[in-house]
Amino acid sequence: MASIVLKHITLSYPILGGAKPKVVGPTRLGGAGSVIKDGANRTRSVVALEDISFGLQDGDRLGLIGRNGSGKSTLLRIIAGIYEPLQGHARIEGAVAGLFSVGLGVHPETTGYRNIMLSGLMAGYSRAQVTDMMPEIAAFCDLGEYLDMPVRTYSNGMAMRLKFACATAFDADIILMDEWLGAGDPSFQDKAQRRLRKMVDDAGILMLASHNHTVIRKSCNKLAWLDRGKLRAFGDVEEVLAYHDEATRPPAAAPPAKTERQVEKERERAARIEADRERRRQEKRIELKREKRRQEKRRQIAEAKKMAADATHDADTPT
Amino acid sequence: MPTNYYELGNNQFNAAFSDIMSGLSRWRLWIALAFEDIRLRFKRTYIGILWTTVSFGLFVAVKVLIFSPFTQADSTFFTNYVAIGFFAWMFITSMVTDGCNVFINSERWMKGGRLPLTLFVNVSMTRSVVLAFFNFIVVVGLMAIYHVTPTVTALWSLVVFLLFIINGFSLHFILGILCARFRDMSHLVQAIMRVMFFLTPIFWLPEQMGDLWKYLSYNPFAHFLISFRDPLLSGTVPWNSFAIVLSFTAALVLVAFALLAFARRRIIFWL
Repeated sequence: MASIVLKHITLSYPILGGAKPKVVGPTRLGGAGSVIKDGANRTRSVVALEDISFGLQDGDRLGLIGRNGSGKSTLLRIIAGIYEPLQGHARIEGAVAGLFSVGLGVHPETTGYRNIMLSGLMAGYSRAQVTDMMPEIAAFCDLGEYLDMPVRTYSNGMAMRLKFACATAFDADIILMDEWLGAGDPSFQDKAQRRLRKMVDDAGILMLASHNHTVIRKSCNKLAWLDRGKLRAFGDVEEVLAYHDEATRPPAAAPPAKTERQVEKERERAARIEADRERRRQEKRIELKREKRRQEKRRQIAEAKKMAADATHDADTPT
Repeated sequence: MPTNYYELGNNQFNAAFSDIMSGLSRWRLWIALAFEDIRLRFKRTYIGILWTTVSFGLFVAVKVLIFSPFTQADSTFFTNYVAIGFFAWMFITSMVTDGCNVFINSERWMKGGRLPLTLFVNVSMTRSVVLAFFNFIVVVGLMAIYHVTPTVTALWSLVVFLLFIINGFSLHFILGILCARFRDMSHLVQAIMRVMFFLTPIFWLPEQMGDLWKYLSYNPFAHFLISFRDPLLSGTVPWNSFAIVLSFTAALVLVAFALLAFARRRIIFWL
């Protein structure tokens, strides 16, 4: 029984403190990254999402694509209820499990077991219920005795196993993933994929932000393309991907800017070619001279022969 | 199976109210988180949480030793006076200073999933109350040693302690929100609290201050202290101070609620 309805969601991040973005080059108009200024022309906030509307139902597996900073993570966090937009309206039904960053929602100083307990309590279960589920969760993350050690001693991959096991052990209707299942060895990835598939099959919604189109094709049946905070396309995976690929194909490659070293190299190369050409011209000239001399010689010989022949002829012919 | 349902972009006063309600209803979680905090604070120590009792007892002992020559009150009265007053003061400062950092220190949880802000306030409050309980051991011990038998009126102190908790709850929201937005606030509050320690009748009696008390009585902390201490120590209820505490409580609750309604969805961007 999960559903997501977003209507005209606009979200901007306020900028506090000294760090203010300097607009380099032409100012962008609208979309993510455009800055909102107050009366005194000071930068107050940066737009992350602009006028996003769509709806998802049970069984929808939505992929999110878009360049870095296009608002994918912000959108996932809105659906998780972490960020509440000041403009627009959202209605989310169902228990949400967000797999954002390994470090969030985990107590680093506490043991794995206690963290599982805390995650369960956070998901709304009672202590007894979590205790019942504990062996299964421990088996799934397969961390053995490490579960008795503080999470800060874990490697990245181990922390991810724990986080994934916690986030998926407690029935969630909506699963949000932010380019995340990268860590972990292949066997765990397999296990995780199977569990995710099962959770999504059990009438739920999956939202997956990824740059990997293969992963999107494999796990999603819908696709949204975010471009600078705006929803550029939403619909069938292949159609959106085709549109995306068509629209983002680079225009006829402009010559890349040259570095000083490159300029130097090019000058050297040009000089070399010029020298080569000069040498060849020189050779040609020499060759020409030789040829001329040869011709001259031939002519002289021919003349001499002629003279000789004439002489004989003269001698032969009586005058 | 627990279900979750929420709408974003609703009336902010309703949202603030449901934040408080859902925060209170998840008592299992905030108790677990509070005890986890306490456990970690005393990790790998031999006497654990009793360290708060020890340090509190030591502080009271030294203060009695240094300040009794300056007072005409008899030593039994003065020892208990200092112990009860300092107990109340410790509780107040822990609520004020923890209140400043309640949201700043909860960033990791707040960015990990949707949880009511009230939950983090409850965690911090629970921690303060548990630690206060271990300080109270010293107060009880001293009263037993000096044969100070509390009268029925002493139950009035319990009422005042509940008012302390309500005020602490409001203060957590007010200071937590302001300190998250304006980072100078927590330093300012610390500086003020350090001064207030001397301006509050903890190791001096209002009677010995003469005319000065007229000005010192503008300090609200003084009235909190007096209305907690007098019923327990002398069996009298200081109605004046109690009225001030009550009106303070009402004002803080209103300010806290308005501030929560304004800042509830903004605070995540201030962390």
